[in-house]
Amino acid sequence: MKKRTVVLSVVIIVLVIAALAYATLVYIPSETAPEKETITIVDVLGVAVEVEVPVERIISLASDLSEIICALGSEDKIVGRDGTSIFPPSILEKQVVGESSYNPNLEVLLELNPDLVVSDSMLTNETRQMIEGAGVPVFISTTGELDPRSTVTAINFTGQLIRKFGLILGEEEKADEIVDYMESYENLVNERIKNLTASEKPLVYYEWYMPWYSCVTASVAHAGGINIAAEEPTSFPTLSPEYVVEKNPDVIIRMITSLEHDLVDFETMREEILNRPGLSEVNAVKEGRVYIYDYVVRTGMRLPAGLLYWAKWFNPSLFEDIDPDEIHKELIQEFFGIELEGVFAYP
Amino acid sequence: MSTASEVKRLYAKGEKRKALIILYAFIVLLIIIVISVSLGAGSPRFMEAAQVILSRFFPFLEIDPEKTDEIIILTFRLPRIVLAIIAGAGLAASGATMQGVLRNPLVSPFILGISAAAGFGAALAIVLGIVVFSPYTGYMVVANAFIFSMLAMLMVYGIACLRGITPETVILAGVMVGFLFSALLSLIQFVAPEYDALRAVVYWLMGQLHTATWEKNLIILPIVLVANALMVRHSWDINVMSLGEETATSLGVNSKRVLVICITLGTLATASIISFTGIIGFIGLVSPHIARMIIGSDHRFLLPCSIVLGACLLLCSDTLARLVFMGSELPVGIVTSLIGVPFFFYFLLSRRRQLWH
Repeated sequence: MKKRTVVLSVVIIVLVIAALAYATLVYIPSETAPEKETITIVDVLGVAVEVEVPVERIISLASDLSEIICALGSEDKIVGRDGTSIFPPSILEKQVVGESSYNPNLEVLLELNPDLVVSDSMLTNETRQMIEGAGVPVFISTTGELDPRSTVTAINFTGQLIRKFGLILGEEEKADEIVDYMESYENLVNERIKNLTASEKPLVYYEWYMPWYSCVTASVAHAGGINIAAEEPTSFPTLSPEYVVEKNPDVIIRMITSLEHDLVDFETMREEILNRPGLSEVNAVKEGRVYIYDYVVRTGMRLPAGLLYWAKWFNPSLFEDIDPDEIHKELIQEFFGIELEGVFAYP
Repeated sequence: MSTASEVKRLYAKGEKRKALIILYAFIVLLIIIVISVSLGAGSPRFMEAAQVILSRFFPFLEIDPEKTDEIIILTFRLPRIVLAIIAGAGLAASGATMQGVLRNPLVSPFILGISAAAGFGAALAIVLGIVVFSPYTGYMVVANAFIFSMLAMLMVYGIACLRGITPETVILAGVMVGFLFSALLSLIQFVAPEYDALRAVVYWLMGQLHTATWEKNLIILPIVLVANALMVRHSWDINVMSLGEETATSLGVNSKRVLVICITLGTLATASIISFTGIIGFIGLVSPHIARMIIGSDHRFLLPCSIVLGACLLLCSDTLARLVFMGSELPVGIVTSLIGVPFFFYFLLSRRRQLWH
């Protein structure tokens, strides 16, 4: 009886191992499709990605990249998306292949038979290799703060990215149009802040999604402010509360990151900062210069809006004639042809 | 002089020496407090700090410190010093008590799996916004962490009861419940739709003290104080239990009862601390060991000594944590191990005392 159990166990173990080995062997990348014109584009990680153009079936695993593709008039080429890609609303009909790029379902993804997968840098290297192993090129980019110390402005970087997408999708003219539009606002800001001396620029405390958590980003300087965290040794430092109070920032900006939120969330967050123990004597709180914004205005297509919000908060007298809300609406109307709804900055 | 009275005299002398050691450790703690209050990313040093504190306690002296100095010292530096002391003391006392009643040197206050459970509760609130019960929205993460810690404790007792509560069943059940919750924690981290929430969870798990406020201290202090006092009251029972369950029973100590009481007290103190600070793990494991090397394993002295040492160690670590980069913070959980381990080895190598028997 006992011997039989042992034999049975061994047989089962051997069978399981054999099945696994077989599954691994069968999973060999399929033959590549017949030759089309191939171009090489370099992604944000410095990887040269070979893509056959024009791409017809694309999967986007990042909301900002999805928006760019749609603005380029190529929404119909998107065959799959991640859960964070929710704009423009018509994209909701596309198949979801994962909550975010962190954990896409590879079976669903590959079954959609894409020509290209685009993603932000949360896609792990292992996942990338598996997708590439199946013969699908992967292009990784971000329009937020991948390298916060970079001196290239977000709009400049994203402009280059949009041109690459234009090339991939065969929409180069449209890409140029978008980039020109974005750069026109960057030039406007540069022109107006260029004569500011260091003493005229406000000190800015840029808070991410947790109290005291900040970022060394040069974007604050690009919008005409001085980032009190700029000199910190880590890219995303947790600032010492003592340090923040002693620096006495003139403006506090805080981003809201949840996908769904309404005006109440903005108000609650601002109240928390205005009433946070220890901040009462800080200039920004005394003068009510505490601003909350939706992080999407600092990504992708919407960067001009984000830049203008910041620029106006930092130096209101220079931008009296500018209404960032209106420009955000105009931008969405122009490139997506829809009316923008919701709150993106407060107050 | 008869032998009996000679022995008594020697014993009394030993007790006096041990009391002195605790007194010395306490003086060291006071020195660290003074150093800690004088250092930080903000500019106030010893003189400014002294001015602020004096002006607060003796308003008639009419010292007029700068407003910013006052905020930095009273709103940031002092609360976190106090929190470091309470947390260090509470974790160390829990560690010493649990190592004693479970007769196992590897036991830490997290033995019932509560660190994973608290992490799971916190992650639920941070990532999914699911809150079991919270009296006040600002404390959602705290309340969740605490509730799940208590749940883990009840689960461990439930499982251990099935086979009778002994050190072995409690430890095994604790390890299993810990694994269960850490799997659930990983699951939440894996499905987290937002990267930022994920980072917030990881950050919470590293433990930090810079979020200290007087309000939080006022909540933790009574719990830790009462739990510590009750644990010290049980120290004689713990001494007897270290002789083994049969001997303890024959001396009139109900091992099971003492075990459950002590572990509940330790877990309660630990849970209330880590719910506010995140997982600060090392203190509760190492402080009792260092105390044991210095003062021996009589729990009447070992417990107070652990308490003072734990406070010293955590306060030292936190002071370093805020000095390393000056402008920004290092999670204190990282520093505790970095300075605690060399400290531990120093004592391990320099003492000849028999540690566990």
